[in-house]
Amino acid sequence: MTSHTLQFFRSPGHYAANAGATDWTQLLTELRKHGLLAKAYFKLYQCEGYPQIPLAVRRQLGSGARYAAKQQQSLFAELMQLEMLVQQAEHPCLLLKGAAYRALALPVSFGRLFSDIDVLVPAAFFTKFKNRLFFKGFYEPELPEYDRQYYLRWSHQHPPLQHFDRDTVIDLHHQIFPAASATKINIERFFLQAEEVAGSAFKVPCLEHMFIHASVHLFWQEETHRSLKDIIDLNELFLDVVAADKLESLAAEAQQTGTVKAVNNVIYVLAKLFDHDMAAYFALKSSSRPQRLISWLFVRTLTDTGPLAAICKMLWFVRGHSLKMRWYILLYHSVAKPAFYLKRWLLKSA
Amino acid sequence: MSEYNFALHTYPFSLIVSNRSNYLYDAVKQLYPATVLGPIAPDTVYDFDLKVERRWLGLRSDYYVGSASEHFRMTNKAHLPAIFEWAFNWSIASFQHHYLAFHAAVLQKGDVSIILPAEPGAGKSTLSALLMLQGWRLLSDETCLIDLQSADIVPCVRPVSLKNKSLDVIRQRYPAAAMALNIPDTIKGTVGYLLPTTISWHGYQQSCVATHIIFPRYDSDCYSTIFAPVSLGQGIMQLINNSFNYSVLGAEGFAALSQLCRTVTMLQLTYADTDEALSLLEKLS
Repeated sequence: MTSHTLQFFRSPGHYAANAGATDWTQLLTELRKHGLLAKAYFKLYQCEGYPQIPLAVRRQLGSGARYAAKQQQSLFAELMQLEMLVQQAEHPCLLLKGAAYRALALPVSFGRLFSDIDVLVPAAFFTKFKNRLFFKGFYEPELPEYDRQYYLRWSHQHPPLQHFDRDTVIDLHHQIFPAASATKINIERFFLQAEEVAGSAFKVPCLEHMFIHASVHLFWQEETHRSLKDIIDLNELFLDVVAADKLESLAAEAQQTGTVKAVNNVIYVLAKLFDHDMAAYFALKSSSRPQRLISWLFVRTLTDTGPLAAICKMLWFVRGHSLKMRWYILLYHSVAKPAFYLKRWLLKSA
Repeated sequence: MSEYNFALHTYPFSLIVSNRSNYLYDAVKQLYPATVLGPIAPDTVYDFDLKVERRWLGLRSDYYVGSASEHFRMTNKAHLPAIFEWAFNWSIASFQHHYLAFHAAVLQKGDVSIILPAEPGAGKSTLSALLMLQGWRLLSDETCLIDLQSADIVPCVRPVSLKNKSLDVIRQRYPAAAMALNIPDTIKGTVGYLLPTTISWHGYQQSCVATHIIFPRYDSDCYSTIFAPVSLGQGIMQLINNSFNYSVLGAEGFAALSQLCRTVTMLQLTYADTDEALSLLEKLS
């Protein structure tokens, strides 16, 4: 494992006690690149040896923590603005990912940065809710027509909606996985088992569903630049699932929603990277064996550099696309997208 | 690790630069004294890490200066030192939330310490360069850092970046001024650097307490120089508009800003006659 970030999050106290100046410099660089300075601050701040950590490190981590605190305040301010809208809605409105973690103050949310608010509503009310957001000052910033159509026809969400004054961005979802995929995820249970947020009309998915969503988001897609941050989030969610004694329920929910492979692979990777003993999980009736080759590919994209990592990232890219789109859509997309941008470039150059 | 990597120990930030040639080091050597520039020290934790790379994209081979998740790109190798300075500025502006930071110059002479906050193009760098050449100590040309606990000004001494006409102004008035590099055709036009004076480098770690906050604006259509008090409320709002991170710091930022403004004199300085503006500022010291 070459990544300082992974070594750090595996055991923050141990890393801090043994790191030399060169390690700290490398760690700060990596944390900054992945937007993890504040998360590292909250990990270290709880350690006994925090005052012994070099001042330069504490300053940089503290700087990151201040930025994360500001984001948290902005999130709550925005949710307050949306509260009335959600109260009036005749359907559940679920916060997803970072906003949901923060609304419940889960440990995974401490110092976690995010760029938008993800909201999930039932598909039947999707257009109605979008229209209501328009009346509250949200609009659809201009996108190239191809990209807009991609969102509307094939993805699981509306093109990003931005507030005209506050610049807040909402990603409004009707599903958690692209409509163009051959894989269908049953999210009925997300709504049925959604949990209340104290003092708010918003709801959040239950812990098992949050883990499932994060697993799908990481393992069934093509990008790799956010994988490190996502796997660290998943580890913290996983610790919450274990602490709440919900492993068995997680395996059952994965089966019910049709996400067993993604969840199993994530748990297998977490066990490898963070030294968890997962034999008990894989012995459960409702779980099945992880895809070891795919999991190996993922770990290589995460920890390696050089030609092998580049090849692995390419394979991951192709695999992710083939999961997100049925083969004939992918074939069309592979030709149509470059053709659209080529035409646009030619018209611009003319 | 490449033999061309080097470190810059400016205060209060230090950085390492990863490189594959000596081109940037040779240029940076002209901008910073040997006391703050040198090899990477294994016992130092560095705040920032800039990577200089060359990437081949089709027929082009662009140069990149990368910092965190961002990068600054150029096609002309001669622009490398300017892009390096901008990437360093960007790192400071984005990751220094342990200070309240303004887009402002800071100068000190005797008991007087002036903060000059200004929008780009208001003539801040020209004015601060001229003050420095008249014997003021330069604490910063670009970023005024305020300590969140004491509200003292923390210096951040760097070469003064001058552009286009400002370069001519300084060369005409001070032909012997220590200027380095002259980089034409950047996205900001021609860029050159005025080196901080010896007293500025001598006190590069020495904090001070602000006595004046002056909002300068060069306006060639201005009939007579305006040097007038600014109300506390108006001054604070102008400072907030010039801050990189007031909105990030919340209550801490408000407390530091209040402490800073409690004892300072705030003035606006709108001028067409640079000599008169300089003379008014000299009278403060």
